[in-house]
Amino acid sequence: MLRIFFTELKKLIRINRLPLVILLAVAVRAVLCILPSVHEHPYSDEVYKSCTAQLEGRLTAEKTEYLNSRLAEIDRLIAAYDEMQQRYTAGEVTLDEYSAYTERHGKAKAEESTVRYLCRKCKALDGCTDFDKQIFCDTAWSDLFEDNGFDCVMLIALLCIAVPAFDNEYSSGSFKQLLTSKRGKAQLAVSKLAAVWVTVLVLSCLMNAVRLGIFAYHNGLTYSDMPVGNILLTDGFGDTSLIGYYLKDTIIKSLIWAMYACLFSLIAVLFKNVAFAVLAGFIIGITPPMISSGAGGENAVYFISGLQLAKMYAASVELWLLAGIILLKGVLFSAAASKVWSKKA
Amino acid sequence: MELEFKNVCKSYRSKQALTDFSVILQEGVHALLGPNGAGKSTLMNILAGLLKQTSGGVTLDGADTDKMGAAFREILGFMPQELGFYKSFSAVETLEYYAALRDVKDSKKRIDELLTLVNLQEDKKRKVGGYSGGMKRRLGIALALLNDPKILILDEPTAGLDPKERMRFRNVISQVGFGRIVILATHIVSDVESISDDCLLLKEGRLIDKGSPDELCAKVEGKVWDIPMTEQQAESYLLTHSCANIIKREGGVFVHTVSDEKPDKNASHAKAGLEDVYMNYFGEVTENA
Repeated sequence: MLRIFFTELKKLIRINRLPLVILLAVAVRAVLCILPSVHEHPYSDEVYKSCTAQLEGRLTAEKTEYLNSRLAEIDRLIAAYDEMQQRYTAGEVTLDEYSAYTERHGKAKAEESTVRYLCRKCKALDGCTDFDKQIFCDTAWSDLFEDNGFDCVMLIALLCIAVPAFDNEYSSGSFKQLLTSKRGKAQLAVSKLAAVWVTVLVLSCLMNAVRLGIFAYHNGLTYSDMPVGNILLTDGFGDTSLIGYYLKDTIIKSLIWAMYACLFSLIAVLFKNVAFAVLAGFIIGITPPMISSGAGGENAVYFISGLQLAKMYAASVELWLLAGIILLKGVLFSAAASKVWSKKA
Repeated sequence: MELEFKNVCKSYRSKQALTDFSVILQEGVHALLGPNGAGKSTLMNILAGLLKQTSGGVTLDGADTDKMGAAFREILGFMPQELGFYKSFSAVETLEYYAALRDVKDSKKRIDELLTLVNLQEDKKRKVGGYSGGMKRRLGIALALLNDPKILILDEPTAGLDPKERMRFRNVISQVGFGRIVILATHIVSDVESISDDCLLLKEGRLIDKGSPDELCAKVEGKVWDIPMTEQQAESYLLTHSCANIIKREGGVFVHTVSDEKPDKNASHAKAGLEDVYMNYFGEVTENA
């Protein structure tokens, strides 16, 4: 069985120009990662950086108290603006006093959103119990997670790999020779699918590794061991580190892509035409991520696994259950693809 | 080794492609002769397990070939009428791929032997996409022989080949035909006349006769005629008699035909060949090599 698997893999590499597809996909992924992306934060990046640097370390009651008092002072300074202006106009404060005030007011305005966000964050972290609460500059990691949404490049690459793997037999007319060889139809189909699964798993992991590599190059991996709950502000992840969270999500997404490979193989054998199969596959592939924001109910993610491709997994997702469902779907799609493929011969 | 077809029938909706086909084949080269649509390919596809017969069965030494599954495919070599290859593979890569699927031991040596046999050594590293029709056919034969099959099925193996390629093909079959059952479907009689041990004549899905080329020729002996004519007479004769062909040789033009009765007062008996057998049974002239 291994011999036939490697033979199919070799065929996939030679006939489908797999190295070229992978190289192109990885290159496009890398370019997209390097291009500057815009992220809207509820705070000032610079102020957040300096504040977190100042408060870096385990979250303590003192740090929370300091932030709360600083926010109260900021609120007071901002609220006093109109009054100070009137008093200055009325000549009740000197120019020096007024100048000193406006300087503090300006600083308060600049810090307001950041300190308010930090206070909210501290309050949210206060309610969490299952991880080590830390203050650190998490902007880059937060942006990385936000960017790790639906990967259209991966979808296109997957279609280029999975569809021809089966449709090649139709277009080349090699069916009869294949089906009269010692290996049965089922073994042949399984080896084809296995070759596609492995390729897709590797490609998906590679794409995420490229993203992580470029991230590490730009930002380093300084806080990679911090518990992810500090960013997501929720219990449910335990001590899962930031890098662990990214890697687990990579595995889940790779499994989903592999499941999609089985689905696209089924589509390929149903259509028996590369162009139609690619088009249908693209529509089917892109639909779940497009509706992900509107898909109601936490359980939807189990039924429409593709929703998970649009974002990082949530704390409420039972990973083993999700992985089990993805594998089950993959097996069902594979069995159907194998059956239809050998029947259409 | 004995391959037996027992009352094999195959129908496609309203069309009966094969009717009660029964025959026992032993080692040797067996030619399946018949015009297009006679059921040759259907029969071969059933034997290869690509088609399921509507009724009847095929057994090898008493064992049902359907039930034998992989064990039967292991001793089967099949060259379909329409050959499909991966264009970007070379001949060696193609054979290596199928060697893996057929679990061929010591595949490198076997591939080398076969490439020599079909005379593709020089082009073995070229992409198959650039091969001529004849080269593809030769590769198809090598592919069918890859697992050293005990049963070799060749469906219209010489279609589209030039005379030189045909001759080479006949030599290859003669070399590999010993010790195995070779079933060769064709409508080109000259391809099998010298190499087949017996011929099965198929018409509209039925086996209408069977025998060695000599036996079959004996059956039409006395029915084969040469009629001397002018060229114009011969051409007008052909317009009304499809079962005839023109032969030009020393002494003039002759119409060569098969008929139970003397077709013309000038007609004289001619020696019967397998082409005359074909003409007698199928009422048409075979494609010439």
